[in-house]
Amino acid sequence: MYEMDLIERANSVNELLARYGVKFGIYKNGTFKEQLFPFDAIPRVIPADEFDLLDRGLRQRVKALNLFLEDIYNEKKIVRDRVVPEEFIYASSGYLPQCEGIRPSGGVFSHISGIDLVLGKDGSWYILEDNLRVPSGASYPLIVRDLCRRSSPRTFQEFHIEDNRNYAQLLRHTMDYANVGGLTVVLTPGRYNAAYFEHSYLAEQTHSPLVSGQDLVVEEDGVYLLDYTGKKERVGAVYRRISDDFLDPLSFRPESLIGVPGLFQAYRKGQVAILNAPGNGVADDKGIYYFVPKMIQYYLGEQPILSNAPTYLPFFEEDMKSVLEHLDTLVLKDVAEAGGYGVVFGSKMSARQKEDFVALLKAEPRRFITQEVIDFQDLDIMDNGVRVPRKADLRAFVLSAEEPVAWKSGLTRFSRNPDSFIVNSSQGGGFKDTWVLSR
Amino acid sequence: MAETLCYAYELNLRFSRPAHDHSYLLRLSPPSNEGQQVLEQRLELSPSHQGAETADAFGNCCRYGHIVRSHQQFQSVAAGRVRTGLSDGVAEPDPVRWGMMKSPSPYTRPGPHLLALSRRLADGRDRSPLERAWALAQGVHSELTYCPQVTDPRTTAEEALALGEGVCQDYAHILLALCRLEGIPARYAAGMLVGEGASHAWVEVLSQGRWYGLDPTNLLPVREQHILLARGRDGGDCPLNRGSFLGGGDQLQTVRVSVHPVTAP
Amino acid sequence: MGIKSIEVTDRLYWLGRYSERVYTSLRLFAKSYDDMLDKGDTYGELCRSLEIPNIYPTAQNFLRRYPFDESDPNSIASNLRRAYDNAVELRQEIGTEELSYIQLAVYEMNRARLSDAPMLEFQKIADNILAFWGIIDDQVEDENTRNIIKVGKRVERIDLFGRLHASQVDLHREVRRLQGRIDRCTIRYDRACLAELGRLVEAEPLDYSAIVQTVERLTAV
Repeated sequence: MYEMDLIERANSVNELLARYGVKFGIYKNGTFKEQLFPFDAIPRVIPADEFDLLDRGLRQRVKALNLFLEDIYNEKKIVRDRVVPEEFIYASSGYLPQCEGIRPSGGVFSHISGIDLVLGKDGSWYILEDNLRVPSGASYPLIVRDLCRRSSPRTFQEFHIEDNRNYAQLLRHTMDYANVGGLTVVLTPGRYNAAYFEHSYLAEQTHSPLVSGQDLVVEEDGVYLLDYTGKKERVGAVYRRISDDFLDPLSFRPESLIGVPGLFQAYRKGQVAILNAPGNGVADDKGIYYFVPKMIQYYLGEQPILSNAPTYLPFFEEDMKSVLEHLDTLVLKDVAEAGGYGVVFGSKMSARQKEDFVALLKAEPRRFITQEVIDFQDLDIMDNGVRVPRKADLRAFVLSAEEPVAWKSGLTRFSRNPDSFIVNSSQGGGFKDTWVLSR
Repeated sequence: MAETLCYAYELNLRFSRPAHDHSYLLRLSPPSNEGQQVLEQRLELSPSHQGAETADAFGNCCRYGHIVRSHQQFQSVAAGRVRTGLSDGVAEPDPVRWGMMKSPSPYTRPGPHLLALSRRLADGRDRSPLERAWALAQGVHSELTYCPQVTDPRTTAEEALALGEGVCQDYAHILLALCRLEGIPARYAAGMLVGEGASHAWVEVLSQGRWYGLDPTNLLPVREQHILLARGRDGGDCPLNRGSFLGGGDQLQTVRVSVHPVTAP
Repeated sequence: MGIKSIEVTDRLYWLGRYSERVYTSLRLFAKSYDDMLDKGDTYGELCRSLEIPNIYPTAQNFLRRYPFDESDPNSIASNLRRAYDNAVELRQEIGTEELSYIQLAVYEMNRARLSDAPMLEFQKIADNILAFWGIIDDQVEDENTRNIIKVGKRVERIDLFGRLHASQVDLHREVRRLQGRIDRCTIRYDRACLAELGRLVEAEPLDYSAIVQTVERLTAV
């Protein structure tokens, strides 16, 4: 195997990850713990021509999703033309009526998009979900590449691998493009957030101050960063790593202590850019996912390059019928849940559970989507010195400034449990580097 | 019949210890539209503060700002004169824009109580959305006992209905939920009513291209006695005042409203 | 980066103070540890000189808890934990490479806790702290950032020197260095306090408790 040298040196990479504090925060029994994010040295390798297809498909998808967001919060053409039923939009918890009428600076809503894919045994990639709110994870493959190169220089001499260490420049460019004039800051909920390492690392790499809510103040003419001496500096863009709900206690959850009072009004007025735009949740809703291929046709007049996993919406009578007939072969997802929760496999339900589920499905058809279980390709990992296959997915990152750009890498996550299909990092599991070959 | 009303809305927030870095957002400026015309209005704050104005997503006029210096009391007084009852309903040129008024919102999500009431009130007769909404408003009115201090601004329609008691906001939330369950576009309206000492809330429904106001608490059509301040999907979208501050200790908030007709000269 | 938030400024200052406290208390502990190999219970003296409560019933207990016990707020481990807690929120200010030395010191502390010859790991903790100060000096471009950390270090050193009844020469030098540094950064301090400190280290004999009290008040504004 060509990456042998790197695999032998996996320990030194993991040691360096520990040295640099590449950690993941979790709550166990109510106490906060920092945990190392286990790294597996066998990379996911994507050949150049295959990535070329992914690249075109991802850019196309993100372009359509951005157009959808602009349309939904403004003209609503896609609703008028009855391509997407309006109840799917307005019943989505990610839809924020407060965002009606807003066109963000530069016309971009989803500046940083994390698109989750799997590779099927048939050799084609399937989109599992879109993450357009605060997708995390880019920092891990970014820092680990540097450490792999240090640990096994030979490997990187021998193989032609696209250098992925341009992520910070891509991100910085995206921030600058959105910026309306002033500093760019990274807004974090604080150290006890699961992704705090990423917040601080991306702030460092993009040379942006890392701030918490109380460091910012909103005045009549805009947003300012306050310093120790009472000096203040104008803020033109906020790369926020806190969710919409907590962004501004005056416009959203009033009890939020981590937000910035008045930030949303300043944003409405165009005095500051927010990355990603508030309200994006309406486009990465599990129910809206079904309509993304239709959006691509509707807005771009193109055929989708990348496919969704075959999905049924019990909301439509026809789909309901086939769902009830083929329950055993389907995976059922509650649209309101995230992070691998609310996912049930039809084949694993008892007769009683099925009965209850069907009743629930009939009562609230809008709440669920059902998908065929994709037979996806496993990736090998090293488990105590033995090479074993495990489920893995890929989160690809697309950054949107003038045009969307797909980062030539991504976060490959795997489940350590051989029986698990769920690779979400909040439920255990580790990560791999993702190599895109340059020829 | 059209009428000229004179209004004053006074919000008083007292702190037991000084508050500072106080951010506020107020929706206390009545809009002019087909149904009401603002003749005169002012909004004064103490500590005196200019702040900024903006319109929110529902077109409500907002005043917001950030007061750094510490203060023991925050007061805002809105006052003016409004010509009301100028039309029967307000024309809606673009109903698609208000699609969100057909879906459940955070405070109007139906639970078992609302679903049961909706079924009980179903009568199968074919009527205009406005007539149907009046039938539902009567249902709400007889279902609920008016009782202050049982519910608060964070009580949902489902919770208030389960209690069987509430105030104007709860009446409005329950009626909104019922209308939306029947596919009638309905929105929340916050404002003031002649003779009421506090702010008031009611419902607007879209029927045959016009929005009509219904006051389920008093079973009154919204005409010359009501002054509209703000709209939203529910009370959570358009609170008349929101604040956030540091320090302050215990707070005591009081609101005093007075609305009365201006006698002809 | 020109502007620094209040929180960042505070954290830089305390990172300076705690890193100094860990370094100096490690050195004192090493001496005390060595003494105890021959003389037995001499730890009471160390507690007195550092003005920390002597809560340790036996020498054995002292040797476990004073360096390692994170539930003891005066332990070296607690002070290192505080240095780390500040440093980890400063990655974007000081840099990942710089931060790693504090992280490595924490790992060495964890190793020392399991070791029966902890002085070897303690040497590595000290090495990492020295490397941390070195890389801050060498690599951090922002002068303000460097100076806030150094002011924290100087304040802590004067505080410790006062408690340990250091020589007038040493105290005089540290106060002069602080005076030369403090106006080259955005830390807020009490000018009258600094002038008072200048007078106190000139006086003979030195009033150590006044020096400690004054330096504690210096940045408490």
